[in-house]
Amino acid sequence: MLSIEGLTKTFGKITAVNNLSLHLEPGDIMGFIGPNGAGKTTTIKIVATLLSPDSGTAYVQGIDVTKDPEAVRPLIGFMPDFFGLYEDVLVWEYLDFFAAAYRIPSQRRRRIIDDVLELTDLTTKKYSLVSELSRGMQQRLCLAKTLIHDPKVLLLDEPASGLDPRARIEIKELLKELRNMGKTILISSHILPELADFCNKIAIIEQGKLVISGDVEAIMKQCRGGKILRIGLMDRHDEAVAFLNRLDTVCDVTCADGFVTAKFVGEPDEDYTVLTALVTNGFKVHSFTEERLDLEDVFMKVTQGVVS
Amino acid sequence: MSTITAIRNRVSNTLVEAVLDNPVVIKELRTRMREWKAFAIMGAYVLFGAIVLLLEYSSEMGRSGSTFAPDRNVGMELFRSLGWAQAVLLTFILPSLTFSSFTQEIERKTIEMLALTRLTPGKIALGKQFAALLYGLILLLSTLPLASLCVMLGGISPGEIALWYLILIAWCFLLTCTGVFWSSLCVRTVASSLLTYGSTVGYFFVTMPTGFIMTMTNQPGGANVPALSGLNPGFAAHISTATTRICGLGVPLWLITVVLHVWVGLLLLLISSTHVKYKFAERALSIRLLLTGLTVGMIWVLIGNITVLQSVQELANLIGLSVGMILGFICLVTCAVSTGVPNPKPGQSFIAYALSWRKAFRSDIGGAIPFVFIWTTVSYAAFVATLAWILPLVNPWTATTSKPFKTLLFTSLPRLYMVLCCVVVATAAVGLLASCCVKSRRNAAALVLLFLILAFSSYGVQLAYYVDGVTKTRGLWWQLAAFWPVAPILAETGEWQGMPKLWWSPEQFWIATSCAYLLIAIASLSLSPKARARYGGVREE
Repeated sequence: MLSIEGLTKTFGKITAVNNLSLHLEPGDIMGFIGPNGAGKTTTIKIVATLLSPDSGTAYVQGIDVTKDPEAVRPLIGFMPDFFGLYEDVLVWEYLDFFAAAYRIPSQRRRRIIDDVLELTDLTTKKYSLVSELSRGMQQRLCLAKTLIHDPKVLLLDEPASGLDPRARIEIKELLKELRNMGKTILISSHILPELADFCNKIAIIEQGKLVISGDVEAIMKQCRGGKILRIGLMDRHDEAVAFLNRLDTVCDVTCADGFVTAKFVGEPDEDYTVLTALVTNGFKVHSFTEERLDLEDVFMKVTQGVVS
Repeated sequence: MSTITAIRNRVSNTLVEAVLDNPVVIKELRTRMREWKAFAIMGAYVLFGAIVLLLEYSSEMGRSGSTFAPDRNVGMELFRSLGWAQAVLLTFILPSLTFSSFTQEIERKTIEMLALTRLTPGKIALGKQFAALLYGLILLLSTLPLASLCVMLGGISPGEIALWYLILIAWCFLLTCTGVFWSSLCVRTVASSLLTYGSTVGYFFVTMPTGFIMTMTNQPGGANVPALSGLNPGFAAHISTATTRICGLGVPLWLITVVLHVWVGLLLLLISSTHVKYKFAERALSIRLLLTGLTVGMIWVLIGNITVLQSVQELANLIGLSVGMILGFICLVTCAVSTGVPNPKPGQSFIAYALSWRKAFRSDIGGAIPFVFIWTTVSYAAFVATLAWILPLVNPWTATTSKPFKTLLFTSLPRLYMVLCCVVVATAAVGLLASCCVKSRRNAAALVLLFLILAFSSYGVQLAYYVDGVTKTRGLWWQLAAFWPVAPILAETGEWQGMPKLWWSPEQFWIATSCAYLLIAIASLSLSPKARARYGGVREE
């Protein structure tokens, strides 16, 4: 559905995007993550046909964005990170303008406007002035505008930036709704835990270069390098650390706050053997859980915190 | 036959889609007509027309000596006054509707979303222009009741009124296209507005005396006039029944005007639709080259007058007028060129940044001074070269052997060049200082500078006149005339006669003004780094 191949873009001496390649299947939702200045917005703008790459290209439904931008535009919905609105029009007029600009026939416009307003929970604001909407509502209105022509691919650049927690949750719910509708979405965001909830793929970019990309679970597994076990003991913590260090399937054993943490490097389904060994040797175990790695951990692990 | 029908249908469908079914037109009209300002302007427009008619009527009554038996041409005179008033008002009102067409989209960050729709740049440009034109038509329609009063008074036929309105509509078309044109080239609204008003108001007032001089000098009766008389819409409408000869054929002057204005307008729309790139591109080079071209174009229109000149004094007056126009236009646009965010490299001194030749053609206020210097020099060189080349060809009395002509060409013109450069460079330096001082939007810096220029341009002589009067010689206040850029132009063209004597002779006026403005430039540049350190320069919103 969306394929980026060897994309490079420089601004003067700065290389914003360096030989970047990505691939999204229909229905994929890819979280596009990177520090400020990593090249996320530049990449999204190139895919949106707003910038020309120095080399490489991107394809939307097999159409080259550099060769036929006119054909690509109806297929994509782009929501920029900093966007403006025509504040002196009513909400329905704003959507009607963009619907007409996308050449949607006037007979269908009214129904489509009602649909996107309902989807973005703005039906009650249909006859309000755009300037009277809150920041969160304006963000949702911008998303409604992005959806007005029913694009196949959505390019969302920091859709939740600058929003309060409630508005962020509303946007998140809206994105889940879009996922259920089968849209292919490339979304950049700094709020990593939110991405983990609904993205099935992630791509991490730093200094314009792709650091890692693929399925969320596979990347987490790759970063983790094994299961992290968190073991709660009633007593004999130091003895337990020494005991675990002697096991072949366990390494990196540490102890803190009454819990022993260890990395299990054996077969994934055989972590119970550690628990069995502890209990058999008389250790009083009150909890035995697997510590989960989140996107923030992955991000911190694979990036170095530098910007281009 | 079917091919012709197909082409006709295609053209009409395209036109309907581009103009009547254009969402931009609907949105623009919707937002404009929703505001109270639209109706306030319309009310003021009609009121102004009515006042002009009333004043002209009183004047006509006074001339005829009776309130009951007015001159049979009073209707014509009244309508001409109304027409001229409308032409001037439209020149000021209509550009304001379009000069922010694209720059406002960039400033409020809606341009990208607009770019991704299926609207083409041409359709957007046409939509913005057509919406403004419709408002212009509403303004014109609102004065029809006033026009009908003139018909009732006699002396003018409905046909002549229709011609006036046709020419005014063509003028509205050109005005709105000019605003769209500049806004498609600029990134900032303030730059676009200055360029739009500089070109439209400049064009209107430069071509007005041109048409007048040409018609009055060549054909006192005004029956058969030179084609260039049709450049000015007000003047063309004033003598709309006159004809001109092109390739031996008699063509009505109004037709020349309408075709010319619509054609140039369409050309500007075409250029604007190809120039909009929907991104913050480096457009300074194209804009600055265009500026230079535009100035040269204006100069050639001014020099068009030379065919009708009869004496060296008339030539001197024309040169004075031309240099004044060049000076005004360049200073006006320098406001936009020299104000912005000061952005020198780390370790680079502010003065080196302001004087950087490498930045002269970039969209940065660094290099503003070299750019205005190059611009002034190129424009002035074009002016002098054209003058020296064409004059002896068209007016034999200006043979280079003529002493007064030689004095004009080899003494006065170089002196005026010196004055011009010093004034323009000082304007740019004050712009840089304003950019370092004004802690708000950078547009504010340009407005401060504009205010300073306007105040400076007129206060010197005005102040002296009110304080000392014209009779007092060598009065202190009159010395401030050195800061009035027009004074050395008057002195060089021999028009300073009758004014009070100063500490210097009229021949030395150019030295006094050049030195005064050079001091302003040096002082502004010296103060700029300190002002920047103290106030932190301009902050972007």
